[in-house]
Amino acid sequence: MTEILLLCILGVGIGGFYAILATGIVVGHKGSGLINLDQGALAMYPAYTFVTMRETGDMYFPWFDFFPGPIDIPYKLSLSSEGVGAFPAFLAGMAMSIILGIAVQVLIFGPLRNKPPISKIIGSLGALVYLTSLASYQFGSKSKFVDGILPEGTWNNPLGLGGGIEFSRLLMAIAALAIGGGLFLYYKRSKMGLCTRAIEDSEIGGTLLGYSVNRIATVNWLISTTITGLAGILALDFVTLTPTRYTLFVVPALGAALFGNLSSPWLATIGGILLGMFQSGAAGFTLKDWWPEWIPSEGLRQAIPLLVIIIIQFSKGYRLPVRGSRFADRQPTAPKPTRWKSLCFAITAFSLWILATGSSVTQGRLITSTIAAILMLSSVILIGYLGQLSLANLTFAGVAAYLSSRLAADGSIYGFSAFALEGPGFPSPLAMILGVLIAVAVGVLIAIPAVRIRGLQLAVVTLAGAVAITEMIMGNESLIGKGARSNLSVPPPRWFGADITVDPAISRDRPALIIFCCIWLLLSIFAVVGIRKGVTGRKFLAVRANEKAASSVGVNVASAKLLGFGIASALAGIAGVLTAYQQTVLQISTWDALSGIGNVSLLFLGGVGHIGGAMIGAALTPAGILSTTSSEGQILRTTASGALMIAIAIFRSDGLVSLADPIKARVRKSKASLKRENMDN
Amino acid sequence: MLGLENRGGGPLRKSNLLKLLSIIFAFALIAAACGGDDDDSGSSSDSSVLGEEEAPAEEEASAEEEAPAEEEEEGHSDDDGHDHSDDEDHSDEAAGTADDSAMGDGAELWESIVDGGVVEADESAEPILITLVNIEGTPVGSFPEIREGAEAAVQTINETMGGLDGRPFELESCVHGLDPNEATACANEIADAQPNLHIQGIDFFNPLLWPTFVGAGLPVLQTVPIFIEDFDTDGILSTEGGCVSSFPTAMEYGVETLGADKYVIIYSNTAPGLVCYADTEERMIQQLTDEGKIAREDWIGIVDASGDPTDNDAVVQQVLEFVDGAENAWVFFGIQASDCNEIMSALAANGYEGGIATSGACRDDSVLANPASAGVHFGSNLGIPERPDLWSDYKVKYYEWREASLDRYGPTVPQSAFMEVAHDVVITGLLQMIMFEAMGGDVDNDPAGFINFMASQSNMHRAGSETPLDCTTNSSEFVSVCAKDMGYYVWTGPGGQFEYGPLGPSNLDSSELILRAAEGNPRPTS
Repeated sequence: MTEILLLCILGVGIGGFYAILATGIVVGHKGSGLINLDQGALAMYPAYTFVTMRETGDMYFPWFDFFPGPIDIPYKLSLSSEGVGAFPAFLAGMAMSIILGIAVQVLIFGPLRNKPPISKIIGSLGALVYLTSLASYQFGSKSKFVDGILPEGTWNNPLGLGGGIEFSRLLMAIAALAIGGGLFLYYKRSKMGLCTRAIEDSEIGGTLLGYSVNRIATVNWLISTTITGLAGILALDFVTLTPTRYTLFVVPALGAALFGNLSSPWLATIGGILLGMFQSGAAGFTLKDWWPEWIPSEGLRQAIPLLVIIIIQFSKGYRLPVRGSRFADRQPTAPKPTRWKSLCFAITAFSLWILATGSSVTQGRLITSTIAAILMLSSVILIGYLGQLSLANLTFAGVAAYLSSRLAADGSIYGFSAFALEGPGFPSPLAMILGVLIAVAVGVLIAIPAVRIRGLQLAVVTLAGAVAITEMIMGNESLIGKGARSNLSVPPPRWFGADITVDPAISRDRPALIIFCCIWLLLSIFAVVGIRKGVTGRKFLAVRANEKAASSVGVNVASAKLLGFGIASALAGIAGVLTAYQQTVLQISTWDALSGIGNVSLLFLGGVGHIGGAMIGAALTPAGILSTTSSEGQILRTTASGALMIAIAIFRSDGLVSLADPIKARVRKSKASLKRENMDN
Repeated sequence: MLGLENRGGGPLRKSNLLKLLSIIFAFALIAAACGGDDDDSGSSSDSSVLGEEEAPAEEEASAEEEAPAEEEEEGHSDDDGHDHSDDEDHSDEAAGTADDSAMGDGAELWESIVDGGVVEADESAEPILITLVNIEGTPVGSFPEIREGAEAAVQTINETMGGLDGRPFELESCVHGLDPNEATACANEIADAQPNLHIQGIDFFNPLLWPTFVGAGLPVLQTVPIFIEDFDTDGILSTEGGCVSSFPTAMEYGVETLGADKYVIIYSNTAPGLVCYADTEERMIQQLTDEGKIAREDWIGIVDASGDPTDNDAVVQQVLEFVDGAENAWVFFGIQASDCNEIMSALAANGYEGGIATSGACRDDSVLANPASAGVHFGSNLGIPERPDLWSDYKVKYYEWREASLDRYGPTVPQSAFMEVAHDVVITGLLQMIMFEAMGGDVDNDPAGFINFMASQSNMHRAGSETPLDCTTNSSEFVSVCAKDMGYYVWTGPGGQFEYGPLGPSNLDSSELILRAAEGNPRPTS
């Protein structure tokens, strides 16, 4: 027990880091109503500024030389021919925080303030992708470990528990408490703080009183990014800096922010420190010999933030502030499908054409797009129709993929694997059905918090859920079998005596899989069309539009949400099993939360409320029918895609599919005028 | 101060100018992404892949300084380019620094080519197609330096080495963003292209690709083997060791060379980390245990969550608990550099007084700058790092030549060990092709023969290495990996240098241990 107590105390350092990030999220939310998913990235970039200033004297700007040709866009400022001291580097880091604060408000979150939640989350994710990939491009992915600004030294044998704790960690926690306490007083006593609270309570009231909502948001974002940048620099003393390492600290920070009800910096601070202590203490338990193998230690640590988030969301759901809804733009359109039969015909014809004439590469691209389309249709139902912002659909797919593989395995060695995969050896159809059913169960489980929460908060829950499920189920070798955490070979599927896949070592043509996937896509489209046209779809749209109003007309909101999650999980599960058939070897990284975000982003690009939008997103999916492999410039593509996500979120929340709307309107108009003319004649 | 007046702003106002600027900005970004990159900064590698090779000394050597005089030696070249038909004669005549008997077959060939003057390949001749699959473009993993190292080697081959009998090399890269479907698409494209040689860059989806490559009968050289499927797939050869050279040697080094009375192995919870621990650390040290060289209770494997600092303290506490009372405790880090750094610091802060040894993956600038790194033994299979004063003439010559090669190419990303690995693998491929053709082989029409040729060499020269590879002693469990040795060198601390450790300049060869483990502790099949 002494050891566990010591570990808890040692966790105050990382907990302090979480706390300041969480406080930044809370401050940003108070000012603008946005939950910022790139808070970790906003800590990372100033930290890199500090490090590069120390190492080379260069200060990079958060952009790159994006104009090809002779015009050079300055992207860095060389302030010294060699590294500078800690204090100037610190000032540069803080200056970068301020620049980022202004940039995120003016370019991203300001324009997004009145957009629907899906646009906000996509914009926020775009910022995350942009900053993280830009940092990878500018600074590399290699780790940086430098002397920060906190004093060195160790407090030995703290509280008589043995061991030692570095001063830097203690000071980080103290800094977090000071910031949290300071902000508590600021919002309680200062004029600006009171104005922020007024706006937080009622944007209309605040505006009528003459407060500039934009200005208040900008000031709060400046505070948020400044303290976040400070945290990034302070943490350098005990956290190694890489772009993704810092960025993903946003998950526990979100948990702490929700602990603070998204409105109390002080509670968020306490939550962050406690979270760090719990995680560190839990690690002490999970590394013990007696710790059961079937509970993955990593999974448990990842699950702690999830549990915190879910418990808080569930217990306080209706009390969590929902901002920006008063003036919110309309939701993305979700029209009734009218030409779905033509779409099905086109899909069938195109698949047959590729089957007959396409190379193995094109066939592979078709299969990828077909499966992605099914997965995106699941998000059309959940996000487009029901309005539930879930980022976990890909994870549901992964659950079905892994479990159906395990259930179909019979102890043989498949493919090039070194290991036999034990399992009951169920026939492929049964394994698929069971895998999908389990995915549905997991989906409904994740949906329980959604009964009480919505919007950005739900996105946070599903994001945390995706992280935890990935570790607890897919990466759990006790549950899935040998290779779950590395490469899991999929038993070759046979459906009613027919081989669905072919060993790529024998043939790279996959006609059976193309037909199989095409059938499932058509069935999925039928299902989605049926839902949208039927009573269920109307209920979903009613819930999306206004839960209270829907409830008042007899819609059981909770049932509708659970049903929506269940249907979406089923479709995602089907896509997951098909992906397993396609890839033949499963890797856990394929199904993680970040990949899921990419999938939702592509759907958003296509049009989140349209079946056609899912088809566009699927065509654009990596290795899809409209994508190409390339030889260079990939990192800049990722950076550019982040910028594109932001632009789409701001300017075209109906997605690319809506580009055809003016044409359709014109056709309708000309048809109507033609009809009138005919009647006149 | 706060604007108490409403300046016409508020939530209902939108800035069209901002929209316009944002659109221009976004599309400019896309345009730039579609265009090239003329930026001299860039991304670099993620060092999470285990078994990273050493970084060389950073001697400055311009292309002009390195390019030999252009006079052509008799028999070296003809009008069509380089004539390698009499390579054996060159080997005999070579009076330089390379010695096939010490460095493997091909070392003298390399030297004879680079000493033979600058010879350009004949651009009109049918090219030798080399393909490459690599991960780039994601913050999670991006290794553009692999591609650039290969491109640099191809350029040098074409501009100064005369290609293969005058035929230029043509490199076609297929890069994907950590996506299995993209990786599979790359594999299909490459199988369709039927290259003379495929170089596999760093790819976390290798097991998806091997069936396609094997089915297409492609000769493949790996750069960094990661998974078991990379170790044991027939026909997929690796001149690099990865875990297979790093970890078995580390077990021998800790137990036999250092004589640890308590040995702690810290490994990563990533997919490669878990695979490598189970397959190349745990089984190997269990074999040593079975042979009575260390008691089972005197070693332990502790998993570390990669990239997650919240478990570092628990790891450190467990280490301290385990080594309590030991007189010669050692900790071996088989984890990525960022985790090495944090755990190293935490061990020091908690008063750990035992020794630390690491794989090459731990060695990067950030770790070497950590005061706690003083006295740490770092693994390297290419000799003592950053000490050209201790290198052989051959190694100095090769490294200077490689620097010139990379300078000539002008990488857009920081030079790294991975870049040098990719460069050297391509050069090794060239040497193998020359020797295969010299023996009557046909790289265009006999890929199976070429694969067998490489796999059957017992004295293969790996470009830049002073130690020959023996592919004939690969155990059935590691049939693909020819490199199985590693040296360990002591870092004196920040600002210091590497010194020889207990092994001196020699590498520890774990071939025997691997073979014994295959018998005594075979890889479990389920």
